[in-house]
Amino acid sequence: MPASIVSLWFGIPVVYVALALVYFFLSKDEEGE
Amino acid sequence: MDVIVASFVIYLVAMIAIGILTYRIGSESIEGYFLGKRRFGPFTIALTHQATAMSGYMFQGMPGKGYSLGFGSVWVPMTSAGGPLVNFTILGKRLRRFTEKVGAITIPDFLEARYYDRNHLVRILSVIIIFIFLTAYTAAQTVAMGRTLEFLTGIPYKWGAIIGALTVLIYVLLGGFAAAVYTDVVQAVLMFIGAVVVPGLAIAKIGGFGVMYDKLNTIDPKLTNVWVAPITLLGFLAIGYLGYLGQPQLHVRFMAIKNSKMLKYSLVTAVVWAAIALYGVTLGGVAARVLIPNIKPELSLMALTKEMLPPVFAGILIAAMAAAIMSSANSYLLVVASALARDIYNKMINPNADQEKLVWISRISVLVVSLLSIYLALGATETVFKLVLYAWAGLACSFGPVVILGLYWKRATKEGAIAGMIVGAVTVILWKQLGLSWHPWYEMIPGFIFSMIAIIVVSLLTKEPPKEIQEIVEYAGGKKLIVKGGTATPELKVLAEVVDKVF
Repeated sequence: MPASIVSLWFGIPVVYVALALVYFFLSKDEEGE
Repeated sequence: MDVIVASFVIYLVAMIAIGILTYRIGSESIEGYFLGKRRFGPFTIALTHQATAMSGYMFQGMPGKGYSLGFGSVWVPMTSAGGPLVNFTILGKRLRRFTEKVGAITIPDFLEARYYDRNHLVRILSVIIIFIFLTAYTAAQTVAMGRTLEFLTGIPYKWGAIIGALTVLIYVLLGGFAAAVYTDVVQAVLMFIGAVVVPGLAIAKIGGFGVMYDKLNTIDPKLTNVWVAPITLLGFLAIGYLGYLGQPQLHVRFMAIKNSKMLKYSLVTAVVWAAIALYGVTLGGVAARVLIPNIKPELSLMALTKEMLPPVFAGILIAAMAAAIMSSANSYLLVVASALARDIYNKMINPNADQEKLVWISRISVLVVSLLSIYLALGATETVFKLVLYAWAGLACSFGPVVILGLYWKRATKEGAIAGMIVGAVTVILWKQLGLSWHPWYEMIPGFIFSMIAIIVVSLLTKEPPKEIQEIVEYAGGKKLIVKGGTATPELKVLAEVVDKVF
């Protein structure tokens, strides 16, 4: 089976989760709450 | 079949039980009824966001694409899996902070406060758009419920639709938003199980990913081609991502979290849920192509469950499919009812009504909208589906730009907002009517762009919003709120008084 299929089917979800984690660790808590 | 029906009955009873348990939260005030008193934690908000966002499409449309496109369907869940990422990062925190500060409990409430709309024009426009599109969506989910139950259990279509709609009506009537949210949590868990277990067992039955590839290649080599034209993909992603930004039934989820700082936990949970569940159901459709030849693509996952798996899994999947439909229907129903009870009755007809009366008006609104959607589902299905064709883009182009610019650009004015909403909605309708759309660059992209341009141009030509409102926009973006030398925490009424002094 071509590597492109495996990497797309598993890679896209992993990239989304990675982006969510990047936001999680980089976002600052705002003032005023 | 008995196990399937039994699972489904247990599921319906559980949903009604949640309605009874949340009755007290919904009965305290109109904010309790339509926003659950902003008491929800991050994981609850993540799951209710996902259960609301994913309708019957999750278990029918996505596996259907998997079935007809094979491995090439890898791009199909990409839009919906990325939706929560876009929605939570762009809107979540700012919307929560702004709406809490001005006491807004609906999107028309927020828009009226943000655009300092004293003659209710923005509110009325929002209510009309919500009423048309979300009533059609509610009715469409009722139709989907009828069809799903008919296929899976043999119950006649009309009875399936009525059973589904009445169950939603009962728990929403009792507990309001809190009932919708907690049922959504159970529904999101069921949907996740259905999306992982059934495709997982099917792929195992085939013999694994590699064997599935070989078999698909034998059926039709096109089923193993994963590449699409970049322009097609870009259009497809834009439709999904922009669409998420204009859905009031999702926006209210951000408004209901306990604290805006919790939203980043919700984001990660929602994205993990979406990434696994949506790729799961699509792969289920791909697996069905190998295991069950010659079936209608939309029915592939259901057929897979019914024919290839033990009845207990069929029971889980039928509950999951019902959950996908009902969790969206309950949210549409509440947004339309809130537009009637809060935005029309409470804000424009009887601002001094006591909370008890408002809660009962809210419940009556839920009843009216629910009965209307059942009537439309049973008697005017064609009209419903005509409206639904416009709904995703119509909502996105009417609300997306006006909400985004309202939260990010303090110079956006009421006149700009009205122009943007009208231009967005009209572009969607005309683009479609004139036949200018071509897949996948359909009416949403021009609608969104033209609406943005209209808001910016008209805002720059009109008087800037009052300083106090501009300061709340800055507050929503993370700054401390300073009004006239002090830290202000005004309710909407107080805000209006402050601004009245300025003018």
